[in-house]
Amino acid sequence: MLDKKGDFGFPFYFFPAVTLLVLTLVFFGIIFFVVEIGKSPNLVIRSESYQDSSKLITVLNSHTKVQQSGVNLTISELISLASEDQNYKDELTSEIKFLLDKLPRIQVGETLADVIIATPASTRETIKEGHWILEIKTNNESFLNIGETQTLANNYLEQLIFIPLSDGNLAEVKLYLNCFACKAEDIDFIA
Amino acid sequence: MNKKGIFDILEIGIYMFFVIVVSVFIFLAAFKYLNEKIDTTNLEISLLTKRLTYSDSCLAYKDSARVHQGTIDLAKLNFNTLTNCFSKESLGYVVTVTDIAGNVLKSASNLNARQEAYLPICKNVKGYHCIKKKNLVQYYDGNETKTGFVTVEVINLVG
Amino acid sequence: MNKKGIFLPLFVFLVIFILTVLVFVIKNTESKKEDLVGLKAITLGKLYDETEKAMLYLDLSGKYSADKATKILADNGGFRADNRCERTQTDLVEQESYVIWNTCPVINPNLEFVEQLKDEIGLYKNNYKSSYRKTNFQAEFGITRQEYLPPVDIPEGVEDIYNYMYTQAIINSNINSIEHNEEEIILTFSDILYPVENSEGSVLILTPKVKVIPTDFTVYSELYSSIQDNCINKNITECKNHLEETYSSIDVSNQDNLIKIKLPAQNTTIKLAFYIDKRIPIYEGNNNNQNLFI
Repeated sequence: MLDKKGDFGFPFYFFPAVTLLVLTLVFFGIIFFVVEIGKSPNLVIRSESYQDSSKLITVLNSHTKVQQSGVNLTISELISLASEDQNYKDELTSEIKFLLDKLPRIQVGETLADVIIATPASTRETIKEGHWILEIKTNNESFLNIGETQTLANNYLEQLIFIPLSDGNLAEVKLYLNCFACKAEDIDFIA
Repeated sequence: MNKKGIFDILEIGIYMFFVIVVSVFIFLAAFKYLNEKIDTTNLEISLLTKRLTYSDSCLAYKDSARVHQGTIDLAKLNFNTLTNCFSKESLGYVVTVTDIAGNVLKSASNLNARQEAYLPICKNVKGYHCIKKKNLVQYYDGNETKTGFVTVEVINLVG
Repeated sequence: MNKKGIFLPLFVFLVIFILTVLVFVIKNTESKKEDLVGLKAITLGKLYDETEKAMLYLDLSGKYSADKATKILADNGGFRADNRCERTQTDLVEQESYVIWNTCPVINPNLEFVEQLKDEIGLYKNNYKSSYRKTNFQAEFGITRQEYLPPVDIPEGVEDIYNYMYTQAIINSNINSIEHNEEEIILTFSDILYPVENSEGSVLILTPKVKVIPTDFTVYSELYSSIQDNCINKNITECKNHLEETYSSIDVSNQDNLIKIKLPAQNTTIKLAFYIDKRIPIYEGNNNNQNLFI
């Protein structure tokens, strides 16, 4: 830098160079450590992608209080019976509701309640939880929908099956979680 | 040392400082990328639960016709079956089956002595990660198939 | 600036260059990643769920088929729908036709039931629909990936190749054997091959076995004995009286020598007819322990 002959250009390149170096390190520091450019967000498969149907299969295989020939019918069999005789629809609804209440639930955090201003406590309680919904379609038409969907909520953990009815037709049964502002970690926990 | 010598040492020192700072920076950036933490605990417990309830060599109920995947045979829920079903040195688990009302029907585990001691206080034990998951499930009690819950609690040595 | 002074600015530009290259290398490596931790295990789990759904479908089909087969046998005097018996004529008064026992071959309700059961299950099987959903890597994980497609002929317009294959696998399966004892009937299907998604050469083999609770056909053998002992070549009035005394809910009518019977049993109504002055075929099928290989 400074030698016998002297370097009069020193102040003109040293400080700008150091400033540029510091700015470079700050900029790339943000890229590597704050933005985390090297992080793979989808490296591990998330539970939303498991496409696990075990809950739906368990619900359909569950026995109900409704009997036929002295044998308790399963939910699948009760769906078939209700499709032939509408009088069984109410019983089917209550049996399915009972099981949906037993499925794991998640609670949306307090931050949601903070964000929503002037929300009555009762409404806040409703939107705090995700709801399991079960939809049944026969002949491509809606037969039964059980569970409450929420406005602006998303659907997660969808499970689908086609089951036979006794008259030879098919029923499409779908189970999913309807939740507003659910976090991925909460979904992971109940998947 | 003359004046020139002092300035030379200072000069080298300043340049070395910049080189070291930049080298450390590049090293940290590369290290962070290569050592990205992969948390598979949730995935592992889901796969474990599936294995336990789907496999005939684990807890799945088998009748004269077939293996009923997703139905737990309570008679199979014991230490020996669990150990033969899935064993990993660093991972222990407890399986509990309850009826639909929540009453415990049967419980078994493959925990070793250390895991058994650490499980209740897992949060406070460094290097261990515990997780508990409850699922709706069918179980066979010797007479008929009913609906209940299976809770799988895992203690995993992570560090 | 002297020669030595060039070092620092040069160093700064070199640092910028190196860090920029590092960013590009990392981004490039990330974009080339095709695999996800747990994907293969989850794919297998998904496939096991698919087989369990197929079994649920077949189990329900078995139950409904058994119920239908029982009703059809009752409608046909203990014979399956496609039988070789003659039937009575219908008219304005009598709008139902009855199978005439005297014209039938050997009476074996157990065998007839199994044959009818096979036909009914075939109908349900042909209606099967898989709900399998192929993994959409772009939509679910934001990665593009070269997918392995199994070497099968897929019709045009099929979007989900695996859904199509799994559906056809069930539809094209056949019943290989039937084991029949007093407590249960077990229908064993042919092996069904499920190619694992995106896994060349990996296949899950399912051998479906459907258990059906057999209908108790004792009522047919008892009815046969009553008719054989008290009606064939006997007095028509005595025959009718005996049947009405033995079965309180029976409906017996006659047209000359032809007797028609309606007997409520097992949530259905057994209908048959016979001539009292002609022989009826022999009755078989008291032994339910059969292994039928098809």
